[in-house]
Amino acid sequence: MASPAKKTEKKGVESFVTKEYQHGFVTPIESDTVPRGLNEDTIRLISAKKKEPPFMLQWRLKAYRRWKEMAEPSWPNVTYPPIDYQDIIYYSAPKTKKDGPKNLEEVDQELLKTFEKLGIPLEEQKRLAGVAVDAVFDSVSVATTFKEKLAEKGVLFCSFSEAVQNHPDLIKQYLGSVVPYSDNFYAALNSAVFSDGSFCYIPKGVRCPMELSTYFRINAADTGQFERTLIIADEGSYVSYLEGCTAPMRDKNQLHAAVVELVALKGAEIKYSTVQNWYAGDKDGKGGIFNFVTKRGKCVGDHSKISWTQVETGSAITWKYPSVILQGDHTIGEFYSVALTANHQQADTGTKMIHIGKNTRSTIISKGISAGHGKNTYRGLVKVLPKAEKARNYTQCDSLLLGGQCSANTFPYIEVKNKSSRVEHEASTSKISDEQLFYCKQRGLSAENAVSLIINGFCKQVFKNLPMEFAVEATKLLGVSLEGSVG
Amino acid sequence: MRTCFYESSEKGKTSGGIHYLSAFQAFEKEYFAADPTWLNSLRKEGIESFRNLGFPSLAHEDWKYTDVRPIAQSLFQPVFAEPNGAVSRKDVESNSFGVSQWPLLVFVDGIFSEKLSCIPKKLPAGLILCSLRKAVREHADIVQAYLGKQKQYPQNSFAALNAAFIYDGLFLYAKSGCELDMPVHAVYVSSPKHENGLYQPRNLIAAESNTGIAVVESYFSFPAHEYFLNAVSEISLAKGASLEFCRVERESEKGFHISTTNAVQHKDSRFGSSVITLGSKVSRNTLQVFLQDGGAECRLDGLYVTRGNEHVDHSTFVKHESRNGTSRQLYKGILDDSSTAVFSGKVYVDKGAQKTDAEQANKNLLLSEKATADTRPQLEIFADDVKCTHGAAVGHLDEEALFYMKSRGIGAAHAQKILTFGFASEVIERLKLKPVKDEIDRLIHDRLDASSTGKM
Repeated sequence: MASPAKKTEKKGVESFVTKEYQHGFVTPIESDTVPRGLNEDTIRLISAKKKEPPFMLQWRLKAYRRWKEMAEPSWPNVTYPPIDYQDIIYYSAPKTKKDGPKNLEEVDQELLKTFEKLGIPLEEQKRLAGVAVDAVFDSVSVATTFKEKLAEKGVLFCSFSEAVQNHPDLIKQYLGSVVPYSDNFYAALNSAVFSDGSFCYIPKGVRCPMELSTYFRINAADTGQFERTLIIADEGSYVSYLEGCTAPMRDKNQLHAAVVELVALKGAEIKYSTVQNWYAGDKDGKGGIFNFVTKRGKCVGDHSKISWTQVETGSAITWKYPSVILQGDHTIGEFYSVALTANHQQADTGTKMIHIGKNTRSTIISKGISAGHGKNTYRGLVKVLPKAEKARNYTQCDSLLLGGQCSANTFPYIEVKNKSSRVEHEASTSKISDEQLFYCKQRGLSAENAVSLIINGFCKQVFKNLPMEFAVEATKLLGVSLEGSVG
Repeated sequence: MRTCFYESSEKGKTSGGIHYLSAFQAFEKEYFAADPTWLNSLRKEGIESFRNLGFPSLAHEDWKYTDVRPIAQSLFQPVFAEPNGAVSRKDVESNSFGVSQWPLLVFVDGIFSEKLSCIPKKLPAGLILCSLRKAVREHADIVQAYLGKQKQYPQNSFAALNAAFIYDGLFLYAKSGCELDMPVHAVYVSSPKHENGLYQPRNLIAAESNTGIAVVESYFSFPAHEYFLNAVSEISLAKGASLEFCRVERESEKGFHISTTNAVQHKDSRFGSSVITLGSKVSRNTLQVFLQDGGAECRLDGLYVTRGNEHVDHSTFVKHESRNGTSRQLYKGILDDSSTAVFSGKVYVDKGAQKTDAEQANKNLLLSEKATADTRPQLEIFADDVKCTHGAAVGHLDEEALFYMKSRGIGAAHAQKILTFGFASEVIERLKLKPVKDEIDRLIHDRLDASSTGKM
């Protein structure tokens, strides 16, 4: 019918499908690594290098022994060559001066340059941006800012290793309380070998004065990165946490198996936002990050709330289900997600909402966009247990298909064991309709602009839940996808 | 808490069923000599794949919510002869939707009963209607052309078990251009004669181009004895063929009912299916439709009303393999007492199936505190120019609607009944055959009367 218009539309899509990864650079820094492979000695070595107390080593070993008995899950709707877990370097710390940096000037200049390239507001920009950054470079935190301001309020925000040294009681109490080491294959692996991560504790009644943010960056070649994040929001507190990820371009697939645990006590609220833009492999599907992540939050106390927002545009394979266990009464769980798969990317992502307490509510909004040979799967579980009276769930998952080689799947699981609850699920799959495109074009928009406008509209419900800076970045990420057509 | 939603199917086996292998040897000795080789090799293939598959366990993705251990661990015995005088004509009549002129085939314990059946002498030219047993002897070439040709269920151990013991069932064949103005009624009775009987009717419906037929399968049983009914229906619709297929299940509360229905649709064919499930201890209906050529259309409806400890599982699979296909699915359930219901529906749109229009909906109404509904509507889409939607809901009766009715002077129990019936009527209204519709209407009313007394 409108063949010239189709062509330009194709062009827009094409440039989006074939766009090159922008953050592909490697910083040559000497790394302090352990030999390849995994056994109990490796774990002892990691633990010793980090000077951990005995309980941590015991916990790691328990996790390792359990992991050895577990099988790699084969149910996700993704395909990848088998991973040789003995061919991975499990620990690598960027070499810094022996005593560690005391201030920014002492930090390795190469590192700072990398952060600058990524646009992390670490130096002068830090005050302007008003963001406290706990930058995780490969596996050890190098610099942490805004500590004083947070300390005033009693907020603890530091690297996981520091927390193990300084707040062992909190770690002992909460580590593994949401994601036990025996949870799944990758969580067990992470529990055994995790190198570092972020720790955050918001005391009673405190509203965290700024948005907390961590930038993860996988750097040294062939180092699987095993991050562990633990956020505890004590009674009546509030925190908004941002996680952004980019990784340099690499040919060999890299494994990333992180664990994120959120604990919300009575009346607390945690908002966790992610923009994930890791290297997705080139347009033939070569290289890219394997992102096998376990993220889970637990609304322990009554009236607490946990909200996940994610924009997943990177990684060769994403396997991720940020979940909420709604244990307390009147608790709320939210999940907003945009997942984009282009080239040969594969994403099997979704959420789990487990309703245990009375009057618990959950909302799931998932938007999947597939282009090129992308494979996008939504997999979600809504479970209402017998005691969860008047539980309420609303799920909407929409998929948009661009091009004839991609696929979109929806696998929701709904299990209801309570009469007074109400669960709804809606899903649709379609392409950008010719009518919508025609309407935009007859108003004077070019085909590319029209496509971009429609895609942004498609994702709006999710973007509006992101904090300001992230929303801009996310919109940009999708915009870059349609390079040449959108500014 | 497990992060894995399910494990791979290799692990999904449960123990049991070994005695079917020796039963097969006895079956082979007694019946193979008289039957054609191609049929015997079908049976051998069946037992081979059953041997490999075993019974599925909860770790098997397709059987995640239905535990078949009670079936696997009982020693059910295949039956090959009609029990004498176990069922009377009257028993059949009371389950015939008040219609006597429909062609009637009665199967007692899975075996065709000449006495109870009533096949009109004068059928339209080109229509063959008889038992599968008879068709194997008299229309071997047609049976051979269609039977066991749909091998799309390599994972289904129940279909494999049925194939191993193919013996009798419904056979309906319509030659090009043939039309039948009334439905064929097939009745499957489980008699009280066999304790632990395994009844495995094998039904074959083949419609050539531009034909129009309707089939009603009704299943009922005598109360208070344990049996296992494992039916397979194969349906083949050629270009422009149209089939209205209706299945009514009223098994006893001790009966296990497993059925597999496979339909292959060619160009511009139409397939309408309605499955009404009103009882059984454990029932599982697998319905798979393959829209092989362009322009094919299917409508799959389902209504399940459960009580006591009943367990009903509906599994549908619609595969759009070609352009311009349309599929509509509506499954609704009313769950009372401690019953459980499962719906897993998958719509699969293949690469070339552009302009597919697929809809799927599953709604469940929980009437009791202990009822459980598990639902999994799934979409797998590999073509971009499609319109696919699905929806699922689990809930209870609308408080405001109840309040409104009470404010108009309608008692709580009655109001609940009206609303519940209204919920069911969306499916009942879609039943195409009037006598079936009236009967289901009545049965649902009776059921609601029984359940709403003494409640609320």
